[in-house]
Amino acid sequence: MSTIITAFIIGLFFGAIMQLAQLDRLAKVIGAFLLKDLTIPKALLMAMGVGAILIYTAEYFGFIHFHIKPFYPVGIAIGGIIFGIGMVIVGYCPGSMPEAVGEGRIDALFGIIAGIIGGVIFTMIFPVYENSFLHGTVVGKPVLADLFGLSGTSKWLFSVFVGGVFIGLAFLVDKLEKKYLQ
Amino acid sequence: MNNDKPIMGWAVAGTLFAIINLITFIVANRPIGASTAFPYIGNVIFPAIENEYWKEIKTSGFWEAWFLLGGLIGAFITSKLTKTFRFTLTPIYWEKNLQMGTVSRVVFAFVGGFLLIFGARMAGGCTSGHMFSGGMQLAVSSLWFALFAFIGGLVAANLIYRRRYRD
Repeated sequence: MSTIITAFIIGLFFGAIMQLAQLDRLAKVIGAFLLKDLTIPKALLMAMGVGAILIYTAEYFGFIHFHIKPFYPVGIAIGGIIFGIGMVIVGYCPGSMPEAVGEGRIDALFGIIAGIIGGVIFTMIFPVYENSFLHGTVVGKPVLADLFGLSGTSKWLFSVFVGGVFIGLAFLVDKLEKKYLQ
Repeated sequence: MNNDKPIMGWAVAGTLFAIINLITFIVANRPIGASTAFPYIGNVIFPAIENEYWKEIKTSGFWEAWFLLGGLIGAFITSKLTKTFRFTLTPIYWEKNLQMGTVSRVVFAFVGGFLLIFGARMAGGCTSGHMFSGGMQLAVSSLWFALFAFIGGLVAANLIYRRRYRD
């Protein structure tokens, strides 16, 4: 029960932020990929940057554990391309379709229904997919710092630095957008 | 269209996302994610398929389904409070800027929604789980995913919408 309440309350805030910042709009998703409106890429870079600083600092001082997804280059690349194509066609992300419905955009409901069907079909073929060349081998769960062989304090500082770079990139993209796209 | 400025700017929104993700790590011992909710709900509706994937996703999927319900209600509340709630089947952008109609919107939403979740599950995450949560942890898998999702999206958007687009 407490799991439901926590998930639901975190969701409330997530949905509110997304709606207020218009990140749940088809115009923002398609606009981003047509390089006309870079609101979503900027918010994403900002979240990654601030998040890297917060998460790595919290982990360094022992408040949290990492939850890194396994790296299987082939399957993630193919899935990523299909996902990107799907996102441009539907005009929403998996995490923004419910918000779109919440503010009255009924087209996202068709996306949700099709997504559930897609999820069921994926479940059925998962045993085959997992062992096929389309998935490929898993090469551990590395983070950027691991690629440079860093650990401990140097891993923390490096990751905080990368977070800062992401924030800088977000503001750089904003500058370029204002200069060339508006 | 598009002249209506967001009530919350991208920098504030991004920062708040980072903070609520940190809170999620602390209170739920997991990151934010969304795409597992879809096969989860599908498997609840069609309980016949109890294979190993179901065992793998049921804990995450349960959490994410309630998280997304919260997301829907949260967006409903703020859209009502800020008077931005609007019942629409076809976004104005779709009709004015992309010059397409209602039938194509429904068909596109359906086809796209299928590919979106199918691709996300192949890759093990979506914008939330991979790009936001994985990106914040600087996970190689998630940055790799973001790269290919952007390539797929850029190519698709330019093939499908570029010649239709009007400012």
